[in-house]
Amino acid sequence: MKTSRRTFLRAAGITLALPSLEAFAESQSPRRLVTIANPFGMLPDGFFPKGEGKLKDLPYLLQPLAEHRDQFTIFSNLDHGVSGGHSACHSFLSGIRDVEAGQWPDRNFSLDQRAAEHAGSETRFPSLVMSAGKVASGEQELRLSWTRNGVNIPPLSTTRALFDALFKADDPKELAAREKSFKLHDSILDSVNAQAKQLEKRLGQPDREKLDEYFTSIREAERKLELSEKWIHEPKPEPGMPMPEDKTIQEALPAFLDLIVMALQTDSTRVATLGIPSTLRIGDLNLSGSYHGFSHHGQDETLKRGLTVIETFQMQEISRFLGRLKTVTDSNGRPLVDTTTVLFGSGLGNGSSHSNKNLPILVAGGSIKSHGTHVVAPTGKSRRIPLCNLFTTLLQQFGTEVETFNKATGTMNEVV
Amino acid sequence: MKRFFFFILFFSGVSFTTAKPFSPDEFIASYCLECHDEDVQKGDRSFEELGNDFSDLYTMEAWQEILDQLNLGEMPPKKADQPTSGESMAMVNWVTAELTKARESLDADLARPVLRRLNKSQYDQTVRSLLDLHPMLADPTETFPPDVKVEHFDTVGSALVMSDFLLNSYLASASLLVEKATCTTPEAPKTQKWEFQAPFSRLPARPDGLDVPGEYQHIRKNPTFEDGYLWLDKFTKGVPHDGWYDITFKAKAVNRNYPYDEDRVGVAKDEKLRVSVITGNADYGDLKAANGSDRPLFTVDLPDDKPEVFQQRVWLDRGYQPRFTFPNGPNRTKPLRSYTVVNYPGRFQDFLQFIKPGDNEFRGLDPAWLTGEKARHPATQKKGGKLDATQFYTNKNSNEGWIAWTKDFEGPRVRLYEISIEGPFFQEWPTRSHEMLYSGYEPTLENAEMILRRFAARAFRRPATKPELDSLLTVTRDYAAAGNSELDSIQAGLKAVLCSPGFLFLEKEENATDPEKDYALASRLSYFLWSDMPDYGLKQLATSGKLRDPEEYRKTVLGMIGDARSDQFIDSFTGSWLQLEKVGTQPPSQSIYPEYYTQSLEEAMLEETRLFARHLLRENLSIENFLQSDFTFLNGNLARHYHIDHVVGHHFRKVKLFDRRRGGLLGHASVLTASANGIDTSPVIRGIYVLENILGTPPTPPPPDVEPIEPDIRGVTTIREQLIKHREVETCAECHEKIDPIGFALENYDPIGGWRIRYMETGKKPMVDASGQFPDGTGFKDAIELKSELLERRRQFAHALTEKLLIYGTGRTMTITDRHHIDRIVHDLEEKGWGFGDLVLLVTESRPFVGKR
Repeated sequence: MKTSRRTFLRAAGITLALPSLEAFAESQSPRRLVTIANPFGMLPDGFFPKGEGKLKDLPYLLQPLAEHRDQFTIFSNLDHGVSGGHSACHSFLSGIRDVEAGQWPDRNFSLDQRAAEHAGSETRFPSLVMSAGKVASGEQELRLSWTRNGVNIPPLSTTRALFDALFKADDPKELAAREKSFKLHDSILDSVNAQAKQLEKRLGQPDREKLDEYFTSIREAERKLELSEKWIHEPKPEPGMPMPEDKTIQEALPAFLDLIVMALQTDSTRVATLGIPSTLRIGDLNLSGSYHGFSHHGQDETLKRGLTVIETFQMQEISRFLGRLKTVTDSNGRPLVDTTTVLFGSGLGNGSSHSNKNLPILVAGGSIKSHGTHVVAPTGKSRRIPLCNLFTTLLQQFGTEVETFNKATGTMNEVV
Repeated sequence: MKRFFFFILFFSGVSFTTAKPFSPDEFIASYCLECHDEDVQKGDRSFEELGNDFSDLYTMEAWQEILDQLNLGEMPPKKADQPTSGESMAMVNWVTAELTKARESLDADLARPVLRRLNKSQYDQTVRSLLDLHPMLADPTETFPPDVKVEHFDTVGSALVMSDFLLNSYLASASLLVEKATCTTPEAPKTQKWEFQAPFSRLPARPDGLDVPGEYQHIRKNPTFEDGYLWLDKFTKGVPHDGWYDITFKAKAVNRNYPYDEDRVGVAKDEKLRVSVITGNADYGDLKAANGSDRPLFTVDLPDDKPEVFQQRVWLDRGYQPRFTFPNGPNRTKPLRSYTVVNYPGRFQDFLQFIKPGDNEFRGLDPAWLTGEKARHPATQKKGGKLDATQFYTNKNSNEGWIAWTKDFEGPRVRLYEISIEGPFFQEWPTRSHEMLYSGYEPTLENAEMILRRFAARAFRRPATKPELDSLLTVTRDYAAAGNSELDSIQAGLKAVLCSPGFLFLEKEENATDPEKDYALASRLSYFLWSDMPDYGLKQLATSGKLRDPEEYRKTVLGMIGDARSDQFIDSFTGSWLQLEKVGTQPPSQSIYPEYYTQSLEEAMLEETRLFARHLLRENLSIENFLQSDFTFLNGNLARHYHIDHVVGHHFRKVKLFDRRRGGLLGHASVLTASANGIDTSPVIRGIYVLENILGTPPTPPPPDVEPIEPDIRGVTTIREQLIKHREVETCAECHEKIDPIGFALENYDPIGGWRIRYMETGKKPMVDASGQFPDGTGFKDAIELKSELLERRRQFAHALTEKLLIYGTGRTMTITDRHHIDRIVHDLEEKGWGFGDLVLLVTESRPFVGKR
């Protein structure tokens, strides 16, 4: 079974990149991006502060974050202008629904993967895509991360898989087998490339365009193969912690967040995406029913209280995570929180009405001038600001040369 | 009136004479522009700038839409000025004639199939056929990213993107498959036998003394619960080789006729208790609960008196072990305890001493039972604290408490005596899978060309070309040159076949020769009707050119429909069309809908729809049955869900319906569950579902500045009141007056398709009002009348269904250039009497499916 787990790791959420010694010599600490999302949004009255500007009285869901109040920003009235309830949630990090992806030059390329493309060659994993527990099926599957050609990256969903990927040393036999498979894959890719060229001759124009995707895929696969061949002999870092358990949700969410801190600290990656799945075992929070069931509260007080418990738990963990980022330093001795931007939110604004509007958006860490405030974007048909404008700003701060990301009409550089 | 117009569509060549000269521009100006000018643009449509240049595709599409609205009688709306029937007729006639002219001059080649890659399920099915690995438990597409769906179909080429990520998954999967299918030893692995005695698995956390080590062990609950699985503790590594194994076990039912109320326990007394054998792999997680590797193997009915021995031969992959469940077992234990203790206190004497007087869980229990002489178990005294009277009761939820109850609980149970596994057995060695790869040749470099040629011809669904073969051979030769063994090198080439474009893509070879086109057509047919690669016979028809003969083609299609493999077409097509894939992804509440779990309703409701659709196809029954029918397929569980008597047992059978609330897709629990969300129902979602999937007229998405309705289940305002308010907003009204009434008609069905008269919500339980009317004024008072109304719109339904079949079969969405082909199919279908089989045949004979010959 070992071999298949390896294959799985390679396929799921992890792509290998070129080691870069220059990265260590860099005087300036690299930028990092962590995105965290849940499937059902946040209770609006608990998440959005009453007034604009400086954060004074925190609403109930933000109270667990009180000690970090100077280090985060809450945004109101930002969204992607999509609709479809659960079935539009997967557009959270891209702004674009999968079915509409074809109409966009970069399809539904997601924020995290765009950042990963930039950070790519610097770390072992250009990005880590994770789910804090079993991935849901159907519409409730989060599907957060999308490649430039519009393919969803399945997440790692157990701490075991994540821990092994980050820290487990490969045994020499496996390494040899992998090297051998690299050679084989290289040779197969050459062959299928030649065959596709043959096929192309028989196709009409529209079908040739379709086949182009295949050629691009071959080139990309070859490039990544080359990169992974170079990483294969780089030793992995020491884990700073034992393998954390993920049997209950009280274990799983903190465990994944802790491993993200370790991954950033060891510079194993600079981009991490974590989904909080709808399969969340809320029995562990002493609730009976399902996360989805509570999100359909329909104003019923008991159900709303249950949902508050679930959402408060998430905010407590985000708070603890920010606390860790403050104390843990990178190789330059700077606290991670200075160089790490954390985006928390959801593709659903209000789970009960299934609205994809006014998404809950929290940005923490990094050096962002709006921290400590509630930024209220304008409303009204023609004055709304696309959430992609904020994403553009975050990407620029990350160091990418993006002018407008996906649906952006500009940036939020003035505010953020 | 409107139906008359619709009919005209099919006689577009006929010219009508009108009294006064007719001007389409005048018609538009008089009856359309009030709402559809540049300023108002109702429904996002403006005809102010719409010209008469029909060669422009967008113009053509707009006119087609206008024509459809006129034919349906939906526009102009009732409240607006109406054209005279003469004017309407002239307009319909003029647009129809213009559209026909435009189509003739269009490049007709636009109506054609496209190049597309295999989707996940097609890939899965194909590799199983290609390598004779049908029963394989592992999912070769496990790591593939999900396919994007367009109009709910995952067969649309433009959305089936290729990426390096996917290509890497293909590489990994190819290695796995080739290695799995290869026999590496000269002899078959030896057959072994493993025997197991009770306790088979760790006893439950609360042993109740009912299991007897060395004799038997029980299963007490259904498998949706932890502890619902009985597994083999001493066999967690599973079987050592892929192969066929005999699973033997001895079992009986206990307490089928239990002494409690059937509705409270949730287990039907007139049904046999059952055991399901489910296999799983410990690498994927705990064996004691559902796990990602679970695959059902078989299910048996248990005898009530003497234990019986059951044996079945099943396929197991290496690492998998059989596990046992009680699928119709009771659900939640805690409510069962409260219920039985309150109603039968005399039978639970030992448990009574765990109950504190006034305990809310046992309210309704006569307090006299608690004042007897029963000894109280003193609780441990808190350090330094006083003993308080309430602490004299040991916790009712302690192990002791539970044991005291379970040992006296006479609920239904499954008793398993002994279990054995024997295998692997092989019919031949090397296996057929091995033969499929190497075609009977020794895997030597000398044979490389023969082996690869034969395998590629099957994998590519056509002979491989010389350059293709050369390039595959290069992989093998290079690998051998690098010092690898002959077998490894052959395998390298075979793996390359499974990553080749010839394998991964379904081709539309425009510049190809005739035989190549025939192979492509054979593949298209085969993936349409079987979701699988063409078999030998179908490929022979392509090779011989016989597919080009219309009579032969027709016979082939009918033969394929009659073949059992067309089940896969029905399962896959209805899964997408009716979004049945959603069933199970949003599980309903265990406490509100326990029957969903104890009666295996999920499985049963899906089976009903599949059997129903297969029956319509094979018997060539009218597609009107989808709208309304006087029969369906039921087993005992589903019949109880529908309150239909005299259907007992777990097998499905055709049942004549007298109750009009059932019958037709809108009476199927599967459809009603797929159009809800497991928690509650929404008339908006169900309304859109019907417009989209039955009538083929999906409403435009809501304008971006409108907030969705915030549900309120406190009973203050009903959803009907909220929606009435919503419709007061003019931009909302336009679509919602089409959506909501249909949805309301289905409100008598709860989120799992059960019939309800009142809403089951937390506040006051309001009555369901299912009445409504179509925008044209036709009223209906409930779902039954709605179904009759839909039946009146059978042509519209036929149109929608045809379009969906074409999307599914050709791999692209339909455009204006396909429109007249669809019209033609519907017209021919009506003449033939609406048979579903005829419809599928007409689709396969149509230009969009066949392409240019």
